[in-house]
Amino acid sequence: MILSRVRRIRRRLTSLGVALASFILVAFSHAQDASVDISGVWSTNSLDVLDNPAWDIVGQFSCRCAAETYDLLNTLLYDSANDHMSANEIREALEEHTTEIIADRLSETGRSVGEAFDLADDPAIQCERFPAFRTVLHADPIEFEILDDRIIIRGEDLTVDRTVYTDGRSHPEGPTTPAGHSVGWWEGRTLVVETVNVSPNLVDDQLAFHNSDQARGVERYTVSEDGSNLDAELTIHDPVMLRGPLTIRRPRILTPDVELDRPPCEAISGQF
Amino acid sequence: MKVKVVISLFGALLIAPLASAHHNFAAHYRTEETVELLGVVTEFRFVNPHARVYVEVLNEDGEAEMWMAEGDAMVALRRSGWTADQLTPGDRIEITGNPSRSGANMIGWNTLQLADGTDIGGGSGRLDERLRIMDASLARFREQRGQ
Repeated sequence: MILSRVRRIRRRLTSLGVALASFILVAFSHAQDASVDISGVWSTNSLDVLDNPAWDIVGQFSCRCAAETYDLLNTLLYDSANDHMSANEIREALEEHTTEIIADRLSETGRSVGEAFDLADDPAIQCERFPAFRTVLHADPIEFEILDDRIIIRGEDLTVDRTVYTDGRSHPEGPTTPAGHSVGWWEGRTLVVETVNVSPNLVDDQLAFHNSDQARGVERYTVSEDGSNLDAELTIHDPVMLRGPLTIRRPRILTPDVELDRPPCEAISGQF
Repeated sequence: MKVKVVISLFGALLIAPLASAHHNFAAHYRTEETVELLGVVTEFRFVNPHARVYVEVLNEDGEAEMWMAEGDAMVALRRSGWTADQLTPGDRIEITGNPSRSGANMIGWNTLQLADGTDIGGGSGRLDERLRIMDASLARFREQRGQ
């Protein structure tokens, strides 16, 4: 009897140990590096900040491109065999590369939905706000505001202000909305944001593909050691529209002098 | 005052990436074609999403036509120092850009020159302005990389 009691206690202690270890593992893996500050306004390589010294050459040529396209960019820049290429030729090569990657990654459904879509039917032309993924990929500046239990990400133009819950809550079962539901956590210097429950929409008008209601987006924002650069990427997992995950990457730099600007939108008609 | 409309085909070379655009210009414009307009500004609308210039143009038959040219995103232009007074009625300008898909007198402008020949840019994606900076950076980078 004493022996079985000892075994019971040992089992409980073992369970407790496993639980404690798991907690510590999760806590550390979701821990934020204390030196990281993501708050403030971050810009892409828009014309007004294109000559900002925070950009390196890769940043200046960065685009709304597939992650794999940055390997090509590095080759075009660092291999002297490509020194005959102008900036425009490099830009065109990157666009073509990303277009091919997306075309290859689309499922049959994703391809047919894209082919049936007319850009003139883009809801943004009628000033309808961007859904979640298009907001993430938009080129305008974004601002992070850090609160105790959430992070607010604000944008410009027709982007939606996003709330990213960081209090450990799970996603609800639904419903789907254009903005979806986002939770976030830290992995060292990287803020990770997971978004689900996004209603079917155009993911991006330039990249020309769509998401289904089963899509899951994972954003990763990694702040550089000196706090001036933000490596930003969005991976979309969509079993309906894509044959596999697709990651779009676009770095940003900290631009404290930039203020967000969101004037009223005036719809444009295709007929003058 | 000499004004004209010239339509030419340039292939796909002038398809611009719309780095700051609110929506894709291909929605309304044939981005594989280029139109050149010479005319007089009747109104400049510095509005979101895209700046618009209304221009009176004399066509090849000598008749006055109204055209609308659509430029880059207003917020992007404002950050580059543009104001609502950037263009005023009576300004004589020359615009190149992409003609409308619908056949309406609209173009998505790429370049915009004042009567004195000054190119003030402001077109969709402002590709020319970007490429000037990027070509200069590329030349500096290649020079330093070789050292």
